[in-house]
Amino acid sequence: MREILRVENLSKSFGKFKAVDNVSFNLRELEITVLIGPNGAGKTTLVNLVTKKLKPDQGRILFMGRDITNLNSYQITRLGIVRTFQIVNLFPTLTVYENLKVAALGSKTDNKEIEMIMSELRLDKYKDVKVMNVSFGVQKLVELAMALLLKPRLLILDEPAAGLPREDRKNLMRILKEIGEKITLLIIEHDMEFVFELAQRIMVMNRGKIIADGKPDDIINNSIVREIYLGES
Amino acid sequence: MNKFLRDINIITILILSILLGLISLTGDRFYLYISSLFMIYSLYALSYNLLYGYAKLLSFGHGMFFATGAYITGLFTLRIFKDPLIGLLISIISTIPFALLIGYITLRHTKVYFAILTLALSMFVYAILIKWRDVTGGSDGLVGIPKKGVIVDISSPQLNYLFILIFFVLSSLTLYLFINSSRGLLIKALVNEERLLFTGHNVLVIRLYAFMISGVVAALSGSLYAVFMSVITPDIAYWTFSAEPLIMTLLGGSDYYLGPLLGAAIYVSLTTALARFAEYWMLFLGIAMIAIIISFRGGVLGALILVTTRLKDKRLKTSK
Amino acid sequence: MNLEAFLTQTLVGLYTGSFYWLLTLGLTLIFGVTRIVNFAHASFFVLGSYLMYTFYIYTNNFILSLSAATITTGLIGVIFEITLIRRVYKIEEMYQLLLTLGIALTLNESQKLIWGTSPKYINMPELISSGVSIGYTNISYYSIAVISIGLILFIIIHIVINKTLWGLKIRAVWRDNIMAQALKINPYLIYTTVFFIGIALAGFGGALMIILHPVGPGVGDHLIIYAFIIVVIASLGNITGAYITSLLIGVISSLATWLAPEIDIVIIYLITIIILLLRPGGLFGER
Repeated sequence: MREILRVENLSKSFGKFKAVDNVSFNLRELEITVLIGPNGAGKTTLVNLVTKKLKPDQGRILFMGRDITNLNSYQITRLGIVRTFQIVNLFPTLTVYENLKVAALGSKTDNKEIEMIMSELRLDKYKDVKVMNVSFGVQKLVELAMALLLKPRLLILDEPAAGLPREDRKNLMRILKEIGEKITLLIIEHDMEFVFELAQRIMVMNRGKIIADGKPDDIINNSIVREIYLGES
Repeated sequence: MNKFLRDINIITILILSILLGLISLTGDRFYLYISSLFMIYSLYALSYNLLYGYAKLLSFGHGMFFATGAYITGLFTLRIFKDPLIGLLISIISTIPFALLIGYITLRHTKVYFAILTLALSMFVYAILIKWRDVTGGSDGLVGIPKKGVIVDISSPQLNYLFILIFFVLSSLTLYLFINSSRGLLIKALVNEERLLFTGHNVLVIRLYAFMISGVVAALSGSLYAVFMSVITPDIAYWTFSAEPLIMTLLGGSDYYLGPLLGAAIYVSLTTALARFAEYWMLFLGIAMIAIIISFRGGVLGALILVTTRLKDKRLKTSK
Repeated sequence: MNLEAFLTQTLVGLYTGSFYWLLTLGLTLIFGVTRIVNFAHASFFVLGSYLMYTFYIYTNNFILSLSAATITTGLIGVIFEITLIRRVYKIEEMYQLLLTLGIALTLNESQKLIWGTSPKYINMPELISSGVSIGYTNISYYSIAVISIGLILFIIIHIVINKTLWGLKIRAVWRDNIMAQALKINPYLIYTTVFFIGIALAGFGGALMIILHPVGPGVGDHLIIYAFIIVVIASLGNITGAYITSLLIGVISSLATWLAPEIDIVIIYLITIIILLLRPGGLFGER
């Protein structure tokens, strides 16, 4: 499998606190990678660095062979790296349709595709409702729809299942599996059931470093990982 | 097309235009005067709300566009070519690069610095207008801006009124169609700047666009003002005049497209029609402003203004 | 260029700058602690002038009127803080600015209604006639006193904030509100106190000013602009910067009016714009 993202020696400190400490890894195309680790391990910071919400103190990021270290957020989005947020972050005063339209305008997608995605994710009936007035579960779907409309090559999801009731979680898992067949996924998650259902590869972060990286079976048996998770629970 | 014809904002503008047109038939000078002022200030406030209500940018220097629009028209028709229509068009066209320049300078900054920078810039314009006597007439301003031109002759009050009316209808409709277009949607999306960036859009460019259009419409209203009043002085560039469209917008309601129009109507009524209360109206505006900010934040229940906004709420409850 | 005239103009600039300092000190203190940019600050300054005028008419006593004006202004500021400003500490800056703008408007108009629109002035020749002679002009002891008061205030504030326990509390809230709460410092008490001090200082400045300079509608509008450009050039929140910049602006203004009256204000605004473009954070960086 081809390499789609390469991260080299990425570091970021806040004052004396090293949130991301000399991290390097590659992501392979069409592989579903799940990033796990305790709270404060640096997972979201790492994602923020890759998606240019933050500037790294040192390191390089290459996307499909191209150095994107110095680009900004909207530029990398246009290149095909799309992310979602841990806390729902949409356009509250716009309708569901309008939110999707903004995404479609970003990737120059036409309206037909918006209709298609809406029906696939069963958002049709919320079309003209303002996003701030729909339920949390629906908002998460809208966010996912927007991400898909941006035609991502690499889709990064920050805790997509967080706060969702069980029913919605199962639904989301199914959708993500389908998406994962055509798009490379990097998912940050805490829900272990979710993780092991989806992951083809797991990376474990702790204290700003990646301490384990491999197939799910290997990770389960990894003693360091067990110590962190079982030792802490 | 159908969707537009049924849109309540469009219907309101059209009905309003017909009413305003009927006023011109009466020939009553007072009503012509106050309605002209209403239309000019409405455009000014609409342009302001594009920045404040839609693009979420708080500018304290909007008067600089109104003033430069007015002065360019005035200077052009007085010194270069005597025709109000041409003067107005020249003014609008010149404002495009001016607004882009100002926008480019100011929009990179965070909200508070943006507000203060726009304040400083408009005071800079004021300083130039008041000091450059030879060109601008200094504190005396420009006098005798002609209404009778080579191409249009709007010397008669009714023709002047129609001139303003035409621009009012065209501009308010066009601006509305614009804000409901794709470009307009991106401007509305400025409500969540971070998300907009992550949706692949260059936020600075979108802001610049909004800023430019806002500036141009303000310049248009300034030009209409210059021809209408025949006399303009530098105080239209003073920062307190920049605060007026802000107040009008807050009064009428910044969440609705036509809010600024209502605000302008209230403002013009208070300042001209109710001359008896002239002393108190500014005080009333100040208190109203406080009430609006506080009550929308879950505090003191408002005054008359809140009721008006609620009434307007019922009449114009529609998505932006 | 005449050395005596230069000296005179510089001194004029220094006392003008000292008035600006009295205005911006309070503004900076309030911003530093509460993060509120008080658009109404100059309105309180002018309120101090008007109150001084009224108290003096009744008491004919300079010191008494000065104290009364200062304290009354401070108290009125506190009333506004408790009833209105407290409600907006936690909301977006945009709305805070708008609220203080509304307060400014309300204050300005109330002043017009109460004191009328013609300029008010306190004529105290005994205070301003005697002074230092420089060439053909006379710089009154009063003006020199104003400059000294400004300097003394700067020193006092410096000492209080940096060396006292109370100042420590202020600095704690300045930096980190949450941390301060954890240390059992009541931020709201500090906010109100700082508001009182800041506004009282403004009132004090206004009361001093009306001896030298008449006050009327429009004075506040002019002052707030200068106050804002001083604090942003100095970096919002920097006290030392505010002092230095106030004096600088005062002196530059004065010299510009003397040497190039056709473009004096143009220069000031141009300098402001250039500085803000090159160093948007201000010249001094926040302290």
